Amino acid sequence: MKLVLFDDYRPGVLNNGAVVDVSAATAALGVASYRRLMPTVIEQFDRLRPAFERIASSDPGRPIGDVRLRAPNPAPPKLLACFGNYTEVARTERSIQDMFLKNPDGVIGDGDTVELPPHAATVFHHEAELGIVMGRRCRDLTVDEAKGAIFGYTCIVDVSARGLSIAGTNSRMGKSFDGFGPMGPCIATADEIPDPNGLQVRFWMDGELRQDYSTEGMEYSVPEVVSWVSRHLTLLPGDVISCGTNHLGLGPMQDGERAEMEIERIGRFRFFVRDPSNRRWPKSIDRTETNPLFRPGAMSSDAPRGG
Amino acid sequence: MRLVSFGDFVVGALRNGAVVDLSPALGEMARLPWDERVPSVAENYARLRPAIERQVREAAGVPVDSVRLRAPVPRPPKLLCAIGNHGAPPPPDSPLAVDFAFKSPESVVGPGDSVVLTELPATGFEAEATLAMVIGRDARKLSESDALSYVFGYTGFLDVFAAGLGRPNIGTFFGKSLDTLGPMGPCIVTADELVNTGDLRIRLTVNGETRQDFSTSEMAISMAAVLSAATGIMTLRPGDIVTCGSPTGERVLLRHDDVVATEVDGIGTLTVRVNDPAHRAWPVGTG
Repeated sequence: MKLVLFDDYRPGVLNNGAVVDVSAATAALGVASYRRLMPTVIEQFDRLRPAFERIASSDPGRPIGDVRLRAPNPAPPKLLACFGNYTEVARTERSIQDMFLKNPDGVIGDGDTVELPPHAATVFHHEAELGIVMGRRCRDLTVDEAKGAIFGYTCIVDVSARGLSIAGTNSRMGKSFDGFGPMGPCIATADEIPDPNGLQVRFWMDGELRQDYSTEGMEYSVPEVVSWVSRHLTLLPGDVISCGTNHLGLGPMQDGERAEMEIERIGRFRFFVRDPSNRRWPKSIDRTETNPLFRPGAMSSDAPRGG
Repeated sequence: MRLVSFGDFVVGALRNGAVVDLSPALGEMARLPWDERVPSVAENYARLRPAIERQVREAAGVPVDSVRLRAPVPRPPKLLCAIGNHGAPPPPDSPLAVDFAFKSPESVVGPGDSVVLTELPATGFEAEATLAMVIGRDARKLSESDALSYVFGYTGFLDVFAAGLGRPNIGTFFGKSLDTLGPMGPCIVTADELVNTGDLRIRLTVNGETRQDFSTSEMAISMAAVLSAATGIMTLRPGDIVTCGSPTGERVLLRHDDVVATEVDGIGTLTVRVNDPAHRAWPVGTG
């Protein structure tokens, strides 16, 4: 099942290109906050699913183009992201696993606009990533247990301002500006994705295909990522873990551009870029040192890697 | 007003050593999910204040020792910690005025709780005492002169982190977010009652021995500048927490059974105990 939020953040099910309103089935949850709705639906999903299916089988819904899609999980309880987690160059062994927290209020949805802040970043990059949506409160999961705790998957862009630091520190704040977490179009439940490490991720800027990679290239697989996180902290229903990106196709984001991202079996969404400062970068894939993959030494097998 | 959370995350107020249940003054807000109550009170405080003050004046309280105090914001929507607030302030052309790191909201614990040193291969668990600002209304791109008017109140915070986890040489991010590494409390003192926040004394003691002792006036970056910088990056919401960091630049290594007290003048003392199930001798490795 593919779950969405639309219009005034009401819950819906995607069904053959139509959005079916299932808010009648969630009314009894008594959730007043739009931020809380999807995590609560996820927590109660086993109970809600039959009603969702019943409504979706009898209600034709509205064509997807006629509704205002929202981010399917507009304020996850936590938004976690992997540092580089793809095998981009030949390595003798896997990098050490590491993650960081991203601003959960930075999530925006289909048709929304990322506004670049005035901060003097060297560049703003798009990092298209597979997002794991957690299904229940859990911690200390083994890799085998991890898959059972996953609710579903979504598309997320880890927008990244490069070069923001103080005296050479390695700040992560460049990833947490308002709007720096475009997410969409839906959450595909785990039963729709038999192999989350066999999905093609694509990202276009103004129609130019920039990123085109398979999640097969993850150094640590989806269940390994979930297990690792859960050994560090408690995960909640609706928490999102972004799996890191393959840096090969990163490129600048700049004023007036239209971005699209797609993961097979999940779907495609789009968003826009606005830069009140109207800065300009080359309109192509970034193979300069601002891309972490092309930093001096980054191609060597043991280089420590940032995000 | 000195606000607390206690028991089953009930919102209360302190009055001369007693805790008063504020639920009757909060109406429907008292029945919100446990983690939304205090943020909602912060957001609506101006409207609620007369009823809260009446409740504090008139209701019977119970001795504070008879309840389990919780962290006053038991699960902040965002918990953002200023880092490196010591030494020389950053140069004016620095692309970031202040650096921050998120802590997981699930890291928060309250007075009397335990800080658990997980058995992950950390090289040490280090702590610093800091003042925490509780945000009262949506705050975005604030100037330094406006910033503190968006603060609902202040509380004490012990910022603990696990060193030596994850990738070397890229900084500690996830090591700050382990469960229980965010003790907060004992109460929120509303901004109108905490005077002289620019020169507030903060002490950290371990087993009664003073390990940090500083004034907020010694911070390299003022509270207003910290908050202005944070809101230049992201919109803050009611109940979000921004901590200021410590001007000492030194961190205190924690060990099993340590009793750690964070004392902020005008707010009170937050005491937690350290539990290291492995009883390790620290530091280990290359820390």
